[in-house]
Amino acid sequence: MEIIEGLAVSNYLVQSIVLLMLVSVLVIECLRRKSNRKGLLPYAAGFLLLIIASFSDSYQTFVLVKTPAIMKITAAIVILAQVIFIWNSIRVWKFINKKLFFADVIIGTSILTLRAVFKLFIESGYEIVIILLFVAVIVVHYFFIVTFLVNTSEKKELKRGNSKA
Amino acid sequence: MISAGDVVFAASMLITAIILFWITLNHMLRSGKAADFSPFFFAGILLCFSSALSFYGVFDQKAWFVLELAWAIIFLAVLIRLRRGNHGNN
Repeated sequence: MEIIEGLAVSNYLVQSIVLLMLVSVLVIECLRRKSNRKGLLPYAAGFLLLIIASFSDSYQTFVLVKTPAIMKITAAIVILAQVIFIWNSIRVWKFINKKLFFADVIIGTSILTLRAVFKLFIESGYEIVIILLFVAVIVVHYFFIVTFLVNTSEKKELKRGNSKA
Repeated sequence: MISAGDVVFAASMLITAIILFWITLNHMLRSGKAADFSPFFFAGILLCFSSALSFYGVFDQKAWFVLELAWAIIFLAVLIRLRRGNHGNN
């Protein structure tokens, strides 16, 4: 059983580190860019919410205390983060990678919903599978943001301007 | 019982993972090719897993074999990309 607990904690660790990297890159890019900042900060806000949720989950797993109220708040925060992600992606539809977006919506929403359901209503050993699948969501988020930043970079804008001229 | 050695070992893996993530992310953004640097991103994830699992005695269990196998796959992916040359454009 110890190894399962360890897998859950390591998953939360991966989530928080990768998301912290993404948030810091998004904020740095937002400060550095003179134009085309649209869509950077809402993504950062959504990822910050996910970091808070992963900290709360990792604390509960590490201390082995499950508080229903905190679990409900965490599930709500995660779903809110996904809603912010989808809303902002629709706002900046022109610059995003559509395949990654649909992968994120399908995988992300289903896993987040399953995670919330397992955490709130079902006490089962299979919860670890859902927790580990969450790494897949983080990986898709990561590549989605990288392609978004590349598509909105100033170099690309220059290229676009030259091709129009 | 967690010893000081365990903490130093895990912390060093964690710091390496953070540096690896940061460098990989910057290279991905600068070159605009996310796929070329993806094995290093997965290596960072593995380092994070190893660092957290080191507190749960993973080194004595079968799960360690899976982690080592994942490292082998990552090294193989890097090797294939290096063999292709020109950042996988050939």
